[in-house]
Amino acid sequence: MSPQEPEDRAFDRYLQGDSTLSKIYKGTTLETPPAELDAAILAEARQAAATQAGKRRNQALQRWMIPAALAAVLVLAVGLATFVFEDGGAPLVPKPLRSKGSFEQRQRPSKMLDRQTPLQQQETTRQPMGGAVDEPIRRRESEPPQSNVTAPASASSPAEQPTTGAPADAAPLKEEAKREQRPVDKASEADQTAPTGAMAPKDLAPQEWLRRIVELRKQGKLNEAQSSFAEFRRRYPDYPADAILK
Amino acid sequence: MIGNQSDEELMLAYGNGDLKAFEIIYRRHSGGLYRYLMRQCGNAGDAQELFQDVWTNLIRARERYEVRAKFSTYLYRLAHNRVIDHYRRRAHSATDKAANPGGQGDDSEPDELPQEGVLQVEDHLHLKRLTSRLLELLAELPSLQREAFLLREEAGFSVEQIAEVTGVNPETAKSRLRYALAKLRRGLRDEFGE
Repeated sequence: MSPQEPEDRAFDRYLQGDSTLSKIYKGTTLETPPAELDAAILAEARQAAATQAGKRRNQALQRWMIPAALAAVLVLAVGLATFVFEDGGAPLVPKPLRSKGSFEQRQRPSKMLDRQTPLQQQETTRQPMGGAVDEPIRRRESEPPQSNVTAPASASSPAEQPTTGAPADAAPLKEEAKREQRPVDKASEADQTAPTGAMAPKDLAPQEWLRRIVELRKQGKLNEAQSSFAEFRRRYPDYPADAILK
Repeated sequence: MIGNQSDEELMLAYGNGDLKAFEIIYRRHSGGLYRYLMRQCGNAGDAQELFQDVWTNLIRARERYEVRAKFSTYLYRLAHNRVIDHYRRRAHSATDKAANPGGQGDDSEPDELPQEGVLQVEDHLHLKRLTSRLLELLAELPSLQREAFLLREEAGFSVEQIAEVTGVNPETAKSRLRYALAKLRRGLRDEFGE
């Protein structure tokens, strides 16, 4: 047996916990950290945890901030698009230059423009297409015809004569008097006598055409009004007719 | 239940902000760590400073903590490094030649290795004198041998864990522990004639 063997056995016993030396050491005073040191360390740990929680809240907030901003932008954009393109893709907001130009260009070569009253011509050329669609109507209702109009100044506007089916501001005074004398046959009479009433719808100004369609509707001639409107739409696909027809 | 969780689980929980987990870890390890530092430094003031530093380092490292080894190994590794720094700051002091980890005297062979079993605990008074003398002898040990002994006694580490904490191979750790035990036994035997 080598002299190292008892030492090896003793060391093994020590590692297994079976050691007098360990027992003596366990009997030493078990110093513990002072209470104030414990408190300081625990307070530091608490503060670190609180800071960490705050940091995580901020991180969570930042994580949601970009998606929330994108969602807000999206909602705003959709809202605006819905507002602008309300009627099947037709913009409510006019495109003044292009619309006005194209509309006027389409109107200029037609004979119909020559047949319009000066007031109608004025309104047609002055009003931007998408401007206020019913603005000419209102103006005509509120203002008397101008003096250089061939029709008499006292001629009523179409709005005041819903049964005529055509504006009477171009009709002669005689015809007006006849209408007053024979109110029963007013509509047919107007159709026969009024120059615009005798015109084919395609030769009318779009506003006049629409008024005629309105009249047809009021008279219950729905099929006729519908076919007339279809023809109108073919002729003036971009004309904002819906506002008037409503 | 949180109290039954391992140290590693608790440390991960604290890394996620669970303060209760830290309190349990602290209760489990504060005493042993404090005594380890007390015996290594030799005075309460330094030990308390180092003790607080170790826990502060642990708190700061909570979010980076990964389970690569036992938590206690990790904790005592922090303490070991802190003690080394402490010794380096006091390197000019001639009172602790063993402060340098590369010191020559630490692992020198003792003349003989006293055998276990020569120490007989007879009564409390005798035990008290023995423990008092043991602490004196412990303080006289080279720091690396003392550290090996303390890591074994306070943290319950195996030779391999002592090697891991102190950054040496297991054979070196085993050697340090054996020499520490031998010197302590011899000192007690010489003192009490047992």
